[in-house]
Amino acid sequence: MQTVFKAALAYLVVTIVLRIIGRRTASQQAPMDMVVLFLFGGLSVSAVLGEDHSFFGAMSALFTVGMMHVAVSWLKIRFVWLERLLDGTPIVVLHDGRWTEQAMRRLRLQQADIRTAARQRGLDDMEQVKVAIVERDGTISIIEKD
Amino acid sequence: MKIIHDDPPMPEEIENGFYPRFENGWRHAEVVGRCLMVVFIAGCVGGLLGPGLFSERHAQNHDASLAADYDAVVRAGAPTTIKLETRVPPGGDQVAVTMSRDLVDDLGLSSITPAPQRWQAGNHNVRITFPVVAGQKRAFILLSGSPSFHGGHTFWVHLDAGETLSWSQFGVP
Repeated sequence: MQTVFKAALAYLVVTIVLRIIGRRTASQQAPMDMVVLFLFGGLSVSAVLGEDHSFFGAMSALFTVGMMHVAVSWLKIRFVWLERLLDGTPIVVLHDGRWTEQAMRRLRLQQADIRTAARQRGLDDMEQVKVAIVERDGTISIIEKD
Repeated sequence: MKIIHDDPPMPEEIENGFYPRFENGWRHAEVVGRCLMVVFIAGCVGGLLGPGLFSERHAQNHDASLAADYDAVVRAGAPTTIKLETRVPPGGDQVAVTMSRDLVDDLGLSSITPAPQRWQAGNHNVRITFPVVAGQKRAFILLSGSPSFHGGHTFWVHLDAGETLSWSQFGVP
């Protein structure tokens, strides 16, 4: 029973902490962001299972996390405020050549990240970018000028 | 259950920067959350939430026959040690320490150094006899275990002839 409780708690804690530290990490943009995710996974496993190396122990934690995910996803559909709370909303960081510095600072994004996204879109000039949006999952969407 | 929400048209959303009021509010929550994490880390380092810089305590009974060094806050399932220093009877080559059953049970006593010469179980206590180098006035005993208790807990030990030494430890998850 303790494993189930710990797994549910760990799911909630990791969800909240990932949200608090910012969406940059969630999008796995750079190796240093992946380090955080790998460490989160490892630390959570040891916190949930501890010395319990049994098959049933691991399965009970796995099923609990799975069902927590289903439950939270359902709640996100049911309540828009929860969806915004857990996933955030898109943020415009560049609009018609104007950078939103405050948003960039809060997202810990550099100009280079936006330029990378523009290149990935096949653009070789930032003048061609109408809007750059940091999506809820941390990816950057580029909308070209007409 | 309504799944499709009445969001404004996308060009309008982009023009308005989506939901800046929500993101500004969330920013405050983020800062508060990060501050709480820093406070938690500081608590851990300092020893308020487990062994840390200032968590070690020293206790000694009035007749100085026993002294203990321990962590005031211990974490359930994490290893911890209690260092006991006992007075050796003059000319003796062994010392017998009686300890509360909780020390064996709730502290999850897993190892004792040096290895005891003899164990005697009582109803609420355990009497353990240790060999001592002849001529020594004090002996050092190390108790190791993984606590299983939460909240405050009091432990005690005493020699056959001597006052009881008791101390409290607080268990956190």
